[in-house]
Amino acid sequence: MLDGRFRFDTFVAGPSNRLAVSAARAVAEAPGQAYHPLFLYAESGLGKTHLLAALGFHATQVDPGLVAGYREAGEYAEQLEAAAGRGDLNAWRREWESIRLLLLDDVQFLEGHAEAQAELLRLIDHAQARGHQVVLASDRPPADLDGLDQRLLSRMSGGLIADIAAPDLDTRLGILHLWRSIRVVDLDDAALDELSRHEVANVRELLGLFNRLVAQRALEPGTPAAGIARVLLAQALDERPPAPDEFESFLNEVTAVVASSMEQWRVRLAATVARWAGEGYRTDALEPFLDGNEPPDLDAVEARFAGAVTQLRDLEQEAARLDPRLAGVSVFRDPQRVDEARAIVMRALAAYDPPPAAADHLTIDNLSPGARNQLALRAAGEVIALPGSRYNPLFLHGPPSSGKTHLAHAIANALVARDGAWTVAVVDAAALGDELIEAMRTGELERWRMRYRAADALIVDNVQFLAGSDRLQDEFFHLFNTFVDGGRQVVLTADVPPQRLAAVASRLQSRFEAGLVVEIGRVSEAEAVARYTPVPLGDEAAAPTIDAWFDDMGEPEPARATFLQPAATGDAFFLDPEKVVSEWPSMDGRVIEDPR
Amino acid sequence: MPVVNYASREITCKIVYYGPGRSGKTSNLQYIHRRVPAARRGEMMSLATHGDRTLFFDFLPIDLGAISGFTTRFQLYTVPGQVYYRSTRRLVLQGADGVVFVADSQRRQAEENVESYRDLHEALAEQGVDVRDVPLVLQYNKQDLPPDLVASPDELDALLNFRAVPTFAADALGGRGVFETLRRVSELVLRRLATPATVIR
Repeated sequence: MLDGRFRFDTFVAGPSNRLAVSAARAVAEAPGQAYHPLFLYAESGLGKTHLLAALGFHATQVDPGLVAGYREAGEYAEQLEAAAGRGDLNAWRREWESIRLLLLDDVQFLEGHAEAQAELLRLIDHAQARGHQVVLASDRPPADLDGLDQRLLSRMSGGLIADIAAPDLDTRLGILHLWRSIRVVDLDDAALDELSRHEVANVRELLGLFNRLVAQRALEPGTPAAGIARVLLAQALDERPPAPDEFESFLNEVTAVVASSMEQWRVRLAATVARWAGEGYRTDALEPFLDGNEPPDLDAVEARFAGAVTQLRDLEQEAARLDPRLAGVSVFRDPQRVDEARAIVMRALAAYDPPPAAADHLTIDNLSPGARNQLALRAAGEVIALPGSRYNPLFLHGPPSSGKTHLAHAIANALVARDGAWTVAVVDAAALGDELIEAMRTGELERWRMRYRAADALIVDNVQFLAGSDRLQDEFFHLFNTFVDGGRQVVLTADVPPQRLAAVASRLQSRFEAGLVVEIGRVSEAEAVARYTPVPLGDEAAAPTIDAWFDDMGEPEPARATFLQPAATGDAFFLDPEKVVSEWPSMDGRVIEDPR
Repeated sequence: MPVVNYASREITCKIVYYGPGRSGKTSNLQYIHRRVPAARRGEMMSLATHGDRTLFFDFLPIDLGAISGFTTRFQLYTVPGQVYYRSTRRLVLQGADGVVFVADSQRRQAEENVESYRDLHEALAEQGVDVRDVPLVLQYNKQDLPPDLVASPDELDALLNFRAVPTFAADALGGRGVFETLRRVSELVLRRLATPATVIR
């Protein structure tokens, strides 16, 4: 090592290593006099070994009789071990003690070698006592050498500690110029300037670049070396391994800032939006809240949205069951279009599982008009002409066998005849109750509801059979409202006027009264006699049997009789005979009251 | 203002690197470009002259991914530093959410720095922006050059930083101070997110 390959004149001094170089020179000029010991440290590739060897060579040049020794610390420990093994430790010690300039490189490798550390400690003490020089080199300062004996560390720190940093611009340029002169290569100053601009972690990296430049220059003799250098540097920058986590730490910082800057409710809502959007649902209903300056009731907003999504899922499932082509239709992904989705399902239901319809043969034409049903027929005509907008509901009442059912079915048939696309649900209230019970039993309540709601008009016969079942009345209440509120026609029949419907909720009664309540009178004796027998097929209701007729005859009409006799107390308005209308010449714009 | 688009759940920040010609604005973007994983960045677009100086601007989009439910994007721009590209500078500066002023630390560039910094104030004022409201940081670049050539950060502070904004000594070629600068300006920009005026659809 001390053969002159490494010399001071081939070591470029600069701001990054000036102290180390001048200390090494001073030690080389006068070993044992300047620093006890000299401790040099630098990361790999920055010139520690070069400096140690240059120091040793120079010292032997100054004093040819000087005994100088260079060892790597690992080698030192191994030799010690070998000597101890051979049993000639004393000879080994004598040999080391005779060295006047001891250069020990990479002392960090002594970590874990307690014996070698102890020997070195002894050796340093011996050298100091004798005026010998010890120079140590390491990749870390003594304070960072964890595995070394404290006494040894304190000896190491007792002289001068000098570091060699990565070469700065001037040093890099100096190194490049030196190499150019040593290697005698044809590179102009501009190329070296360019190369020196590149910051390197160690001199070997710079040497690598220099070598590439030389090699590339040989391949492209016509190209200016500076240009090649620029290209090389650009490549070197790209090849440089990414600084650990520089971007990641930036990202973490930004994440933390966003999280703390955004109001928490916005973050939560944005996450909710992202989740639903991720599941394919439109989130238009949620996004306006993000615009607001005030936080909404997040729980309610999210619950409402989740509820709508649940409904959409059920509807989509039902729709797909009826018609597989309906699965995945966009409307089932938009919680703002639940009603539309429901309408689609209802239409599908109407097509694949329609509600009960009217009996075909019961038409207006085969009803016998007369004074008893004149008003009802006229009202029916109006309803058929203007369904949903004129009289809604139309409430027909009358004694059994007076032809209510016939008229109700006739209205339904006329509505369908008027518009072939219409679905008119015609059902007896008793059957409706049975269906409801069955739907509840089979868990198809929603489907049952939609089946009726899908209809364009609803005709319910014998609503007196709603009596007694609160659940049925509840369901019917909603069904009724759906139709009336949606401008769809409802026709109801009963054997008594709304007010006298026993055990039917008043909310239903009052709604029944809100439309037109029309009585169909009993079939007169003459009419009944005039009817031929046998009764035509399917016209039993309009043409009562003799038995029914006799039954009817046996029942007086108590309401009318009671009303015609003024009550002892009560509102005089209701006692005004003029308000009691039993014959109806015309109904236009008139308040119609049924005699009670 | 940083754009927070709640409809598409995006945060987009435009950060402009301003400064005199050859002060290292493009070097900043190039370093960031090299450090950001390829999947997170778009192509760096440079409209440059033959002499390698930015003619119009550089543009580097960075996608930071979903942060708190928001897709967060940064758009980094540089302006051409040369005096005669005044109108281009105005154009690029428009709508900036944050500004990094990259000063050239070389002593002989002191005048250019001052002139460019003044130009920045002027440009912001022309756009009706109060410079006190704009997140702004100063970067003293080329601090790696020999000490006798460059002014120290303290000297540059005395020269430029009368607004006492955050400053960073940097060597944009080597990368020192580049991310520190970006991090600080991003933080300043993002801290303004909750301001209602920044909320648009």
